[in-house]
Amino acid sequence: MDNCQRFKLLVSDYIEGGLAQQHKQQMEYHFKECLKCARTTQQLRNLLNELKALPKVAVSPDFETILRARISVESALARRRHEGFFKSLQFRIPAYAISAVLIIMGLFSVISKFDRPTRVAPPEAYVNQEWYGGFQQVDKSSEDLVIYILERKTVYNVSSQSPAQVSTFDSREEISAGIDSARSLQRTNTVIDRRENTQSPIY
Amino acid sequence: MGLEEKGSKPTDEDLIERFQDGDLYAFDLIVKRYKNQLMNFVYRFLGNSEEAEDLVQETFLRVYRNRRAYQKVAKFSTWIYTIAGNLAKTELRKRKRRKFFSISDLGYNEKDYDISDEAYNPEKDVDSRMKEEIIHREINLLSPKFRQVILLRDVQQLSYEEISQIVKIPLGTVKSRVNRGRLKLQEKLKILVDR
Repeated sequence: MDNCQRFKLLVSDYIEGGLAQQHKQQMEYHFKECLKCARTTQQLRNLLNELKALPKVAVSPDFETILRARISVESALARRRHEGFFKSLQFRIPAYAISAVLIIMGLFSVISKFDRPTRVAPPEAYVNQEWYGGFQQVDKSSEDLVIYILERKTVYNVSSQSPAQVSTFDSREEISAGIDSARSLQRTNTVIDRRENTQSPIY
Repeated sequence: MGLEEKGSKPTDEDLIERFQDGDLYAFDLIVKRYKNQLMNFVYRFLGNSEEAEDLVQETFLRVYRNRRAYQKVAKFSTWIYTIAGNLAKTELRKRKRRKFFSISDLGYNEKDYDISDEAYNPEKDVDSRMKEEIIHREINLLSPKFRQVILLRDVQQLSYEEISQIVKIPLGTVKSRVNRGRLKLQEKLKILVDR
């Protein structure tokens, strides 16, 4: 890099006093041999003075009035948008809620037609501290066979208020087998119960 | 009563903090403090006073709207200059897309050129006015990246550090860009500044 190129890189630092003493002396030495660079430096100094002295351009006198008006309009629009949003929600929320309830009711009615047993209280004779409510399934193969599944995972099958036989089982399979047996024998006074000390839920 | 009215001058950062807390008077003080500085910068950037004033209005609207976005880690001046600079650059890009070109944009039209009362001197000689217009035109002919740093450094007199934060480029790049921009201007205006 020749000295003129180097000068071009450093001239602003030189004018603004940002050069180390050694570099500053090198620049000044260069000016003595290169009038073009010396002249450019002076032109740059003049240019900076001209730029600094450019007339200051001011905003128009009603600048602040217009700005305040714009802010007021914008704030009013923002408020309206905000209120509009909540107003629209007032209409939307009931519509959404009603739709949701109808959908849930529809789903519930569809599901209940299939697997879900009807929730009923068990026969009064079997209600005690441990058997306090449950589900009822009517076995279509036998109108007499009614199966109650209690909240406490107790299952019993009854078609009258007083059971003739009570069987106790440990697992879902055993309960199923008990129910099948009751069906095949057309036993109408049978209670199928689960052993009370079974911890894990069967259903 | 604002602090200024009591005699002590709050910093820009104090004012924006007060404004963030809901003090609208602080916002008014910010507007008074920066409206002409920004107008000068944007006018020199765009070369059209009407567009510049609109853009300065938009800058303050954005400060108003986004006051919560300002964080005290940065100087307020760099934040507001960044907003104004970005808006000005966007405006230039829009112009480029429209391929809009008018001689008035170069600053030749007196109607586009409002000088503040204290700066305006009716007896100023024609040569001096012409010189200003030529410099203004040459600034506008610089590419936006050089124009922005030259205006911030040599017209607005900001520090290199502030410019680095506004333009979001490293300090060394700012210095070299300012230097190159000055040499470009000097080359164009050498007759004018040779004395």
